[in-house]
Amino acid sequence: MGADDYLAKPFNPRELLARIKAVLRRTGPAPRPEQAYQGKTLHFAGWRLDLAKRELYSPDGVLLPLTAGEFDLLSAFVEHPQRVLNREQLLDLTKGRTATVFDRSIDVQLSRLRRKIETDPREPELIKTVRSGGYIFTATVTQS
Amino acid sequence: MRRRTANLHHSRLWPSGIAGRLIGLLILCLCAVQIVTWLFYAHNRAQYSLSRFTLAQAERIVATVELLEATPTELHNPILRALNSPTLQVSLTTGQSHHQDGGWPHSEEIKQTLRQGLRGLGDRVGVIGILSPWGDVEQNGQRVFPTRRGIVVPVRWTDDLWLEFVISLDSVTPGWRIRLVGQFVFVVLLILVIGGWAAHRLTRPLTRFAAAADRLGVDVHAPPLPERGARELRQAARAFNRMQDRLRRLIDDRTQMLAAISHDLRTALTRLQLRTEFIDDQQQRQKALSDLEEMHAMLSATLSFARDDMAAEARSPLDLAVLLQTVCDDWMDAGQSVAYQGPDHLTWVGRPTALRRAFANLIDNAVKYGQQATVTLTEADGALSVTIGDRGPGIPAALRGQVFTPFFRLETSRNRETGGVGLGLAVARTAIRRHGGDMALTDRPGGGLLVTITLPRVAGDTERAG
Repeated sequence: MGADDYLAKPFNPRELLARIKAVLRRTGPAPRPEQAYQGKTLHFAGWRLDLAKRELYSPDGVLLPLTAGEFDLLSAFVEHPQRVLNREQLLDLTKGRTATVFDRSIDVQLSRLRRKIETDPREPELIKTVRSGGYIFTATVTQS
Repeated sequence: MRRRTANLHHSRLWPSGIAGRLIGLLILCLCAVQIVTWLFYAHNRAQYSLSRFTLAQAERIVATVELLEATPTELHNPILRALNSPTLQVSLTTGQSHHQDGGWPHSEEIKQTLRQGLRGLGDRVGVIGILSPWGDVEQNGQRVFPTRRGIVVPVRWTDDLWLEFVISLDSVTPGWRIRLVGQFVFVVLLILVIGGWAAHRLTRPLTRFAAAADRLGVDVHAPPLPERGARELRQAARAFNRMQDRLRRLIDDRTQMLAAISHDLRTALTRLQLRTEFIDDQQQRQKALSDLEEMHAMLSATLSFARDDMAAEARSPLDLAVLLQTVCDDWMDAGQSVAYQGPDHLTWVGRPTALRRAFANLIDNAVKYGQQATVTLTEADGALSVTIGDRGPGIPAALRGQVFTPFFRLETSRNRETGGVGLGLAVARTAIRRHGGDMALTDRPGGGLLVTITLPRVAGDTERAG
């Protein structure tokens, strides 16, 4: 509908003011970049990653609920497959998507993610550690 | 009938199940019928078989006498020896023995039958005597007590020689009794087998019925009972389903009303919030705003509670272990001490959003009142068990039933930071029960509260027809 933002009632007038200011601030420079991936569903090694609904399904069709941070991290990998990504790059890629806390380091998020999606978390197949200090997502990704 | 049932109720012999009682009743009836039959017919039957037997023996006697008359005298002894059989013995005696009739109620009738059969021998038949352990016999001037039952038929052979036939009755009587008892036992066994099967089939719907009534108490959205079986059972099932339907409608109406009220109140609340901004007194404005904020929070919680109750989120396969880990991880990301113990993966079928909210509410409570939470997931005996333990003050046993009531709050604090709205547990329990599970609160060993959630391993119990 072309709306940049909305507020549900009952709202705080000061919050409304702040949001209006924020929208005005944003309309000047380039539009927000990350809308591109909205509505996409990516497939890798039988898995299904629904970026719009933020849902991950295993090859058996079983829903695996992830935390916001883990989901962002996985999305970053899936959108950049077969490329070595170091911590800084991962932080850059995951920041800004959601304002969720990244209190924990990327490593903690990654180990949790591995425990949830890898068959054997100690011998990861999907997200491998590269010796030079980075990670690589090994599976091929297709989009539907 | 009532009194009888009441008395029998306490007897250990009387079975507790309908099937057992039905079979018991059938067997009792059969016994009664059998006893009556015996009383009326057993005697006649004995009489009938006895007279047939006697007539047959009479024919043998006549034939024997004719045979002896047609053969030379020197052959008589071997012939007599050859003719002896367990049922009929023949001997040549010098005098007619006299027998006293003892204790036989119908011996006269038997004698009558015998005489008829022996008509061909005319007046050569002597005095027919009855042998019985209760009567005495005069033989050669001596009184003897016979050891068996029988009939003695003397037939005159020459002037001083008598042919004495002894018909033994020992082999006639007992047989039919044994046969009858055997028949009775067989019929009883047959009743046990067929009746047991039939009664089991008949009462199974009742068991299902009880289970459905039990489930209705927990989940009004349980699927309706299948309406099949005997007519009365179908009627009962239909009535039960109608009742459940009405209950569900009633609850839905209430929930809808609650949602409508909450929604309308929010409009008024927004207007009030805008107006509050015009209060000049800084302090008063702040207080009014925080009051309104609290009201807003309560209304939001109510609305989402009502929405949850009505929303039919579809069941789908999900990884329950990962779901629990993720809920825990969310809290850990927020800097709380929440630990998960259990398998890495466990596939289950449920409503992801409702479950996530339920567990989140429970962990939220644990963290709020107990500073930390330990979440476990175990699988045993076809059921899943999730526990959430904290080290908080716990909940007094007397209040454990009440805490599930919507808007009930243990802490009377007005501070929403810890006080909450009073819907968390209610929302959680509704969600768990909608999944066919239940929730219990207990003391945690070592202090704190332990919430135990049991879920059926085969998910979808409340969805599939029972």
